[in-house]
Amino acid sequence: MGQATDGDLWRRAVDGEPDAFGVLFERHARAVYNYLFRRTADWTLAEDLTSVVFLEAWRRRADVRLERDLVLPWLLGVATNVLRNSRRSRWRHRAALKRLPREQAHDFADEATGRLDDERQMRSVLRAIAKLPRREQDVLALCAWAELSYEEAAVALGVPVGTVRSRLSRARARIRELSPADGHEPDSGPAVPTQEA
Amino acid sequence: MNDETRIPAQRDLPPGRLQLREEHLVGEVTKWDRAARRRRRRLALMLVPAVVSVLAVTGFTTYALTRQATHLESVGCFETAELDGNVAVVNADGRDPTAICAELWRQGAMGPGPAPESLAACVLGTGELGVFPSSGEDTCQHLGLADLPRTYAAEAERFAALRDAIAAELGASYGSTERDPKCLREEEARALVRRELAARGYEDWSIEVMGGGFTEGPCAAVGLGFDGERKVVLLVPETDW
Repeated sequence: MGQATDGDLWRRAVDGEPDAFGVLFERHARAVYNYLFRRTADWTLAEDLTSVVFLEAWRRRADVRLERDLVLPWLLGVATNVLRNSRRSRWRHRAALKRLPREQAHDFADEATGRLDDERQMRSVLRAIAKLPRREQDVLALCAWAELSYEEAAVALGVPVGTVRSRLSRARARIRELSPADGHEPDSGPAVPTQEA
Repeated sequence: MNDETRIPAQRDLPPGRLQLREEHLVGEVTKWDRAARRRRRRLALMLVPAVVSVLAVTGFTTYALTRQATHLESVGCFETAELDGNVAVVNADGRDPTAICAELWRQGAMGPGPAPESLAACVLGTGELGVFPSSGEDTCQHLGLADLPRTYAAEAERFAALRDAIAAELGASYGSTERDPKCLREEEARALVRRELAARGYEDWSIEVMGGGFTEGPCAAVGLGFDGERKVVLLVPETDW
């Protein structure tokens, strides 16, 4: 039997099947988690906000019209809004977060050093793009870091595709002005790839 | 871009956490739906005989007497008298919370509908404050919430004074008050906050720096937040998202 599409799972979730929502979480939590990390430079915060994004997605489940049956662009749009209104979002879901068991937090001690390095490095990237307007940072993060297509980023942000293209183009131009040198490294990437999405 | 500005590779959630978070999420949304069904049933209960209603109200009154507001830093203004309705969260400023939300309604920030004739301030199960459109004296009880305790006004005023003092020391804009930012070192900012906490009887509060710390340079302009639940003053360096 084939794997259920995002759209199938979403419709089942909306019809009252929380387990289907759980499958969507399994499928997309990693992408949301990494997107949030790359916006915050904080793995712990990114993990909590991942839960907030899915709780917020559930709260707004009746409002969603999926494009091409894909949930991820919409989830990353929710994540972008959660980042913008993080205080409000966390306030709203604070009671739920409080009920989350914490006892396994120390299980990833082996990775701790690597994660600290990631955070230091990501802070450096965020400082480098801090001069960009927030809207350009959003497009950059969605297209270059989360690897959404222009069309998917447009769905995430609720703007026309042309707006995504122009914002990304402006962001790239500004970044080039700020720092002309660029390069590549295995298993990670430059903050602003030079290839078109 | 140089080596310092490469994005780190993706990682999985820490071992065990994906499953834990999934179970938590499914549990929460299941609970959410059950709560919605219970609220609908509660409306039906309003039709039961008067004697049962009196008992229920007595129960809620006992509950109300023991509920304390622990979040003095913010107020949730609800669009409807429902716990899962739209909510605008705003900073508390020492005023009566219903006055704060009434102002939002007057400004049209709560949506296109007309402002409710009266509002009720209740204490949510989490200790946070919620202000709801009210159609009578027992709005909080109908929602299963406690009324605002009488001590709230004095506590809120005291907390607002603390918040204003800290914001002034840090040069932090807060609420509608704009201030010229000061560039502070982390230890300097912490010391200023600690001093105000101690001077105003909030020694049990702690201080946390958000967003990766003061990494921009030797000093940073500082944003300010409060977490009443954990009793934490949040310092947000300008580089924070």
